[in-house]
Parts: sequence; C-alpha cells; structure tokens
Amino acid sequence: MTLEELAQKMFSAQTTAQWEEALLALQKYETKSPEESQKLLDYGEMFFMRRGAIEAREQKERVAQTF
Amino acid sequence: MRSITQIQQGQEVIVAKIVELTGLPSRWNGNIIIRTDSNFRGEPLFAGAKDWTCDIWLHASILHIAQCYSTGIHEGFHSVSVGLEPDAYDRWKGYEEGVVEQCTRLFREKILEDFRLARPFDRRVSYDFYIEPLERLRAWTRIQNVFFYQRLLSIPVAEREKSVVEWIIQTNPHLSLSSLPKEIEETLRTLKEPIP
Repeated sequence: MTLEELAQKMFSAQTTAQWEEALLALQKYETKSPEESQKLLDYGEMFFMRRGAIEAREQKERVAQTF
Repeated sequence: MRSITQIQQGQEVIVAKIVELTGLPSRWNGNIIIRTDSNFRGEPLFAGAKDWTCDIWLHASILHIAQCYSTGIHEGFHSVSVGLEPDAYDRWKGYEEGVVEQCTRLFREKILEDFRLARPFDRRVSYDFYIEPLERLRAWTRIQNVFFYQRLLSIPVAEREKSVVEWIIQTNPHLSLSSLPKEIEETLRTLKEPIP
C-alpha cells in the first residue's frame, strides 16, 4: 500500500466501521522516509479528529431515524 | 522528565498566553490526556490532537522532549480557533491545521518566553503541505503574516476561504470571483481536497 492509498482510506472513511478499518491499515503501514513519517503524524492528528466528525454524523442519523 | 502536573501547569500557561495574544476565548476544558496510540512497531500515530470534548491529547512519546511544548501550543491554538466544529473541520482541514500551525511558528517564541528552555526550538515541519498553499494565497493579499494568520484564526473555519478570496480581490481590483487566475483556483482547491 502506498501513502496515497493509505491517506485515501483514512480520509474517505464515512462510518466508524470504515474508520476502524483505516486505523488498522495505518497501524500496519511502514513509512519509507523521515518525510513520510512526519506526514503520517500530521495525517494521524487529522484522522483522529475526523473520528469525532464521523461519530457526530452517525449520532445525527440515529436521532433522525428515531423520530 | 516533567510530571503530569508540570505538563498540565505548563499547558495552562501556554493557553493563557494564547488567549492574551489573540484576544480569543479558549474552549480547552483544562484536561490533558496522555495517549499511547501507536502502530505495530510502537511508533506514535500522532504527536497531539484536540478531542471534541475539548480535552488536549499529547502523545506519551513526546512528553520528555522539547517538541511537547510546540505541540501544546499547536493544540492550544485549536482551542481558540473560531468555528472549529466537526463538520467544518472535516471539510476545511487545510484552513484549520495550516492556520493553527503557522500561528504556532509565529508566536512560539513569545508564548514560551518565560519558560526556561534551550534555544533554538525544535524545527517545525508539520503541515507544510497546507502552509505552502496558504502562503501562496497570502502573497496575493499582500497582508503581513502575523496579521493574516491571526485574522484567519478569528474567522469561523468554514468562512476562511471566502475571506481570503475577498482579501485577494480587494488587493487586486482587476480580479473578480469569476476571473481568478488558474494558479489561485488550484491553490484554493489544494486546501480543501478531502485527501491531503
């Protein structure tokens, strides 16, 4: 898997299940250079902050289904 | 090695200084969460992050190094950033992370002036992929860097792009929304690509 493919997986996740799948891919990924390692730390912060956005969306959908 | 109490107290000073410098209120709830999220080789998955409950996360791997202060500043700027909400962040990551990181670089010396820390500070390379396009846009506005980023920080995340475009047009009256040069259009696109 390339860094671009990993990033695609991390930032296209729309559900918590897809997010968890992307987390597994991130944990398995081997960086190829110090530049890639730095980039991945930045991606990591955004990825973890995205989790909140996904959860908020899912929560909104659940509430909409209830009413 | 600093104790958790010392890290907590240090972050309180950092956030107070950010509030004083920016004039923006902080939403930080006062909690520092030490995280250990790592890959299968034990390498950290991030240096810091801000949780949506407004906890500040710092990774255990950076606590003993000077980078911890810089990361604390970066996360502290998130806590004052106007309009930072999950949906806005997801759509406008570049306008949040790039602005917050550039504020970290511009104000770090001032924020840490009372800390007894060795100089020079750690070299920041985080989010260069967002700072570079922001700097290209700033060049079109001819606004001084501190003013540009401080002003953006006080504009809701979802409206920052609109503001930058307005500033560009104000400085270059021959341009209009429908006649932006390709270079500007492409730079704007870079900042809102869902995949960085």
